[in-house]
Amino acid sequence: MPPADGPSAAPHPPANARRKGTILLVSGELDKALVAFEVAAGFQAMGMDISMWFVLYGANCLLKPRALLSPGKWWRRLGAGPGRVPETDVGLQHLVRGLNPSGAAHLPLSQLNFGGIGPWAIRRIMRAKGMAPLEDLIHRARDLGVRFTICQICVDAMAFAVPDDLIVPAEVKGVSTYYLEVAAADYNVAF
Amino acid sequence: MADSIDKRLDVCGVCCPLPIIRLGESIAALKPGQTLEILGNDPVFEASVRDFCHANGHTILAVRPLDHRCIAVLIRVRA
Repeated sequence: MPPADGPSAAPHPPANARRKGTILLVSGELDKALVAFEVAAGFQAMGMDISMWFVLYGANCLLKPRALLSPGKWWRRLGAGPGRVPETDVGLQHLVRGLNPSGAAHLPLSQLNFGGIGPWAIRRIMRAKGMAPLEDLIHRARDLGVRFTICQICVDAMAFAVPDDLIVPAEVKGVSTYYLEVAAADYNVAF
Repeated sequence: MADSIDKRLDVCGVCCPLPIIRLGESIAALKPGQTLEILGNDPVFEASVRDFCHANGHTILAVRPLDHRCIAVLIRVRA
């Protein structure tokens, strides 16, 4: 821990001692991804250094938008890049990639999804209320300095090509790095 | 008063957390001691700006309610 200088009761730490936080996104659902990115961008703007971790379907919101039947999902080689071990790939990964929602615009809701009508309605309400859509929040979070990391096992199993499949840069790391960040942070939460 | 404002920011029509995100970006571009007036109409706008200033050490110089739920907050950037 860095030594505290000056009165420690000050509500605002000096600029070189920004608080840290981690947000783990497991869910591939629009509602949870929205909350995760609203908290991330909001906390980063308030002065906390936020690191976002994505595992399993949580990484779906970072993928480039591809519709269920788009050829880019079904007629493409499995991705290559950091974290991938192509020699252990199996054909089923093509099926998982094809069926897995790709991109913030294609995420379902955890409740009231109604085959895609729910997310459409939520987006319409959000637009009318002046709320930022998820894609916008992701880019704002990146611009504010939020760091993105995707779990290596998920990158390999879901055959994500980093960075080609992603709309924002992300690192590929394992649980040991996550542990170090969690241990050094004041705020850790999972969605 | 008006000629002492170094920057004006209008975030009317957008809601949480966009006002504080844009406020943070604007304040980062200012020098210590400069002033910024932010205008917003989000229902939690005033509380958001107060919390932001409290967390980051900026001073709120004035809060003026305007028309249509708009509020103008004048901030001095932390020295």
